[in-house]
Amino acid sequence: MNTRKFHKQYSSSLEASRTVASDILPFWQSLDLDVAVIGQMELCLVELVNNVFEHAYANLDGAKFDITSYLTEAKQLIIEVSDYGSSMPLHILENLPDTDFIEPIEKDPTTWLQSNRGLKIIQQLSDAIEYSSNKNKNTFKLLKKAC
Amino acid sequence: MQFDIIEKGQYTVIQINEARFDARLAPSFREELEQIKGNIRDHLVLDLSAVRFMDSSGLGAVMGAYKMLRNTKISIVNPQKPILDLLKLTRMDKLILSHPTIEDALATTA
Repeated sequence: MNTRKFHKQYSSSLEASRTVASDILPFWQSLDLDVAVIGQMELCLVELVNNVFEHAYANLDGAKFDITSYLTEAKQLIIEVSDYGSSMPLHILENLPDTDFIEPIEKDPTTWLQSNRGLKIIQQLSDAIEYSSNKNKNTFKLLKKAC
Repeated sequence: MQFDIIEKGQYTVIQINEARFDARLAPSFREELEQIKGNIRDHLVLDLSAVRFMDSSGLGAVMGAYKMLRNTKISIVNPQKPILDLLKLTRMDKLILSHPTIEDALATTA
């Protein structure tokens, strides 16, 4: 049973990821999570919050989204980001190649680009990701072994 | 000031005076770069000493500088561990080299 849970609603904006990070870091620190895990999950969470602003709400200020985070008994950190905007096409996650980033080559500008870089960072740093869309609510769930 | 610009000899240093190089800061960085691009010397050094956190937008802004300044060498100086880790994870460390100090960065062009 989870004894502690972080849950808060926010308004979308370009700055929202900073507010979310500054709220959730003390919570994660209170769970005695490894510093490296906290740093990686801060990056994943910021990428998710920016995705909500840019894609679910098309850069619209003031739309609501929810953040939930908790540690399971199996010491798995769960992060859920829910929005009520446009859902992400499923093929984006399905097509995220399960490979490393492309190594950029100085003389080949096409290798400098990496599509969905934010999502790929999340994929690489998490143990598992899940995405669901129900009625008007979209939830991105991220799982990470914490110890 | 979010950015300090130092021009000296053949190099230009942009010091990022912010803890977070993220989606909020990236547009200002692009604007700053756009304004000074005509004056940037042969070697642009991005001093990230103060930056504790960088996301894909910050990384995108650095890549934007790389694309904009095709004939300029770009180096990163004194990145903190999370920034180094991000550069390694995304393999951008192969394209834009990091150095502990400005002197080390400049020595690579000497």
